[in-house]
Amino acid sequence: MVRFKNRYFTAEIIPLDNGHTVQPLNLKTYDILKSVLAATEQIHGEFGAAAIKNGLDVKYCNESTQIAIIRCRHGPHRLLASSLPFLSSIGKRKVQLQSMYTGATLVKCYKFLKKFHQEKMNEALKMCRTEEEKKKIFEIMSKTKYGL
Amino acid sequence: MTDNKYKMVGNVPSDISVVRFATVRAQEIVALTKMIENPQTTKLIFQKLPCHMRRRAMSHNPNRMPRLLREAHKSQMAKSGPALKPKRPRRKYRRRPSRLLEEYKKRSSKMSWLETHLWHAKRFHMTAKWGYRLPEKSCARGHRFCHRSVAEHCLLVDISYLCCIEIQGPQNAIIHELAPLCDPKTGPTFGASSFLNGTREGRVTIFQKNSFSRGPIGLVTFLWRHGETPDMRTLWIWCHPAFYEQFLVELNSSYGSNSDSLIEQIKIKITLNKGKLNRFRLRGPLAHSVISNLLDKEIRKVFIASQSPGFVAGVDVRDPRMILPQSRVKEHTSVPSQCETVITSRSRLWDASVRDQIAQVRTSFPDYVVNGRRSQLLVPGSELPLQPEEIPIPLLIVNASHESSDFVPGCDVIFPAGWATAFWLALIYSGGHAGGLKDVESMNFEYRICSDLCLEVDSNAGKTAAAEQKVKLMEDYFRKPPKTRTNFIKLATPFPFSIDWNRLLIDWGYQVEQGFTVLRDKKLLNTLSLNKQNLLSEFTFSYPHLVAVTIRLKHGSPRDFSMICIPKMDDKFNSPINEPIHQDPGAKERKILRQQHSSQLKSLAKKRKESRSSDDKVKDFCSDAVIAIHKEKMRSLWLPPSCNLKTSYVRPVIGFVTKGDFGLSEGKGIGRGYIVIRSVPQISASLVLVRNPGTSLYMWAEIALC
Repeated sequence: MVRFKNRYFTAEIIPLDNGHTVQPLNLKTYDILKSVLAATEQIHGEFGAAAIKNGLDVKYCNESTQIAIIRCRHGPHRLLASSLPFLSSIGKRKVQLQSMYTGATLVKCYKFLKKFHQEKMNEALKMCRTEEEKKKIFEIMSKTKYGL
Repeated sequence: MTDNKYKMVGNVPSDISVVRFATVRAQEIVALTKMIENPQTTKLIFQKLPCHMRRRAMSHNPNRMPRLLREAHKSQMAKSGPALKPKRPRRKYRRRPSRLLEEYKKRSSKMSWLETHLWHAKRFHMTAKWGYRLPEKSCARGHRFCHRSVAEHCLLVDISYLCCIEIQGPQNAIIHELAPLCDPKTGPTFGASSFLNGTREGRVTIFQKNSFSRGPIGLVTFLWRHGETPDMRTLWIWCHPAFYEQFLVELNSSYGSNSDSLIEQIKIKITLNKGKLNRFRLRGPLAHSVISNLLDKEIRKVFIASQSPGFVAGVDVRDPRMILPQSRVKEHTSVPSQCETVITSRSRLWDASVRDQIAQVRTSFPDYVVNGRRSQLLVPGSELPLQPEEIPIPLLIVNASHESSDFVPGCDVIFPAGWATAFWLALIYSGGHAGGLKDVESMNFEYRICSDLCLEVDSNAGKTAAAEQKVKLMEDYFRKPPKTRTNFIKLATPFPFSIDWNRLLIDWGYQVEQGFTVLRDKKLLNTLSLNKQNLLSEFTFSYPHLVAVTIRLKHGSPRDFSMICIPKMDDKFNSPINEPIHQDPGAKERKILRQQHSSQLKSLAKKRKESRSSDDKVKDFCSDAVIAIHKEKMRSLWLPPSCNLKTSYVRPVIGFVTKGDFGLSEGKGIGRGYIVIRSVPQISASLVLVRNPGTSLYMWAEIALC
């Protein structure tokens, strides 16, 4: 049988309204899906939306790290990629999508995400102001190293 | 990238703590690591093997995989459902003679096959009875042909299903122990002098220990061994498999009830020779000439038929495979009819060691070797001269004894196990006509011989057989649509499927808690038949006895379950008497019940539909129970109600016919049945009326006590 090839877009979701920081960013996969389809229809029309719809899925969505992985078939993925920057709202919140990485398999995306998070941790270390916080962060880091 | 990072940091709300940020990220890292390390593969096990190690057969044969992967592969294969059934081998392969033994072993857990099963299975309709597969009737020959075989030629039946019990011990001890089992009034028993010698075969009815007024267990034949001293004798008892178990229980109780020390003193040994001997029965005028084809020339001159009925002769014969004629013989060799010398009754067959040795020869000297040697003979089809591996086989030839007023000449052949097919083919080729269970029944009906193969009507085995037959007949009856069923209520037939003797005896004023028996006492039967009933005391009449009778009709023939009735005083002979049609009160009831039932079914169906649509699974309106109850009720309404047999019909019923048909031996309708003993004095001039089930005409008939 012919193989189904996919492309996985890892994107970071940046909320634009920092005035409403009290409200937690409620990321639902269904909302992301709807908004992605809407954006593609806006840019590429009915054809674009239909081409993407088969095989469109949100495989990973993390509220606290604000990362989502969207799957698409290989072929129409260029339409999706070109319409992601124009996505302006998910649900009722105004957001901005920043795609970091496109992978052909989910495992590759995970590997990238792991490296990304590790770099972020190192920067958090540098960002610390107090010694106490530094110590705590060292603890956490060593834990993850062992958990590896 | 760094700009973005700072921008993001700037966008983060001011009161975010770095620690929280870090912990979340740490958790993420751990989770991602786990997911990376254990990817959710959907690959099958055999895809993990390198290409050069994969094999086509591993799709159905897991043994083609390396051991480490075998278990995982098997579990994956099991997930896709149960495997295909292995292909059934083709018909020709299944029927190969070498494979037939395997087939037999597969099937013989519940049913035993006779040794001649394969020969019979190709030519007969078979039934399963008493744990054996037995031939019932011939596929090609009809009923009249089989009757002619008995009357004019020779009928050959394989009765190896009879079970043999061997008792060894001192003569007096054996007779003493077996005495409570048989009634001396019914005839000579185990200890009668004519049989003790071992030159004759005897037959005796055995009862449960010391209870002769209850029904018997059955009829058995026995044989003492010839030429032994009185302190160590052997007795063979041949009994029918239907009551074999019951008989064994009786024997064990009579021998086991004594203390063990007594048994050791007396040293009685019981061996069960169930599968070790074969027995064929030949009946007909030409039976002896068929047998004589098996014998050597010298013995033939002596001629067994000249010996008296019931005589036991022990002979040694050659292996029958050597002397098998090339084609079936139709004319018979004429044999001398008178002879003075008596053949000895001594035989080596009684020795178990000799039997085992001879059974060995069958396998050590197989058929194909014999056939090979015969094919090399100069004259095809002639006898093979004496071979070095041959051993003479001992046979016991038992002449037929007088069982009833009709005598049919014949003999029984007894020989060791393993040789049935050889002897069977030899006898068939010498002119015997093979028969099955139906032919045995017809012999018993026409001539009243072979009664050791038929079950008594008052024994447990007979009652079980009657009950089975009743179920079968009732199923056949109710399978017909109601319009074509004969209405036994209107046609006044009390017992259309089986006879309830208890009811008959109760109506004639007997108490049947203890059960009933057939009168077998020879003296009483004699006095009854000579019309000297006044000599008999009232005591005999008060016992619930049935008397066996034969009725003969001039026109017409009785059927099974026909009613025997007494005519009134003023009934003229041969005048037509009819039973008026009775009322059927059940007809209206059945109609109402049918209507009720159909409306009930409809309402249940409606309720089911409602519950389905309303999605309410509280009650289950299943109509199975209702249908079962209705079926039982309807069946009971179709069967005739139990009524007084003396008064409900135009003429009082005194008995029933168990087997009735046109008798080919006599050329008129005959019925064998039983009547109540109290009615015997009321029969005048041996004339009775007979009414067939489902008819209203009373036919005049002659009755005779047999």
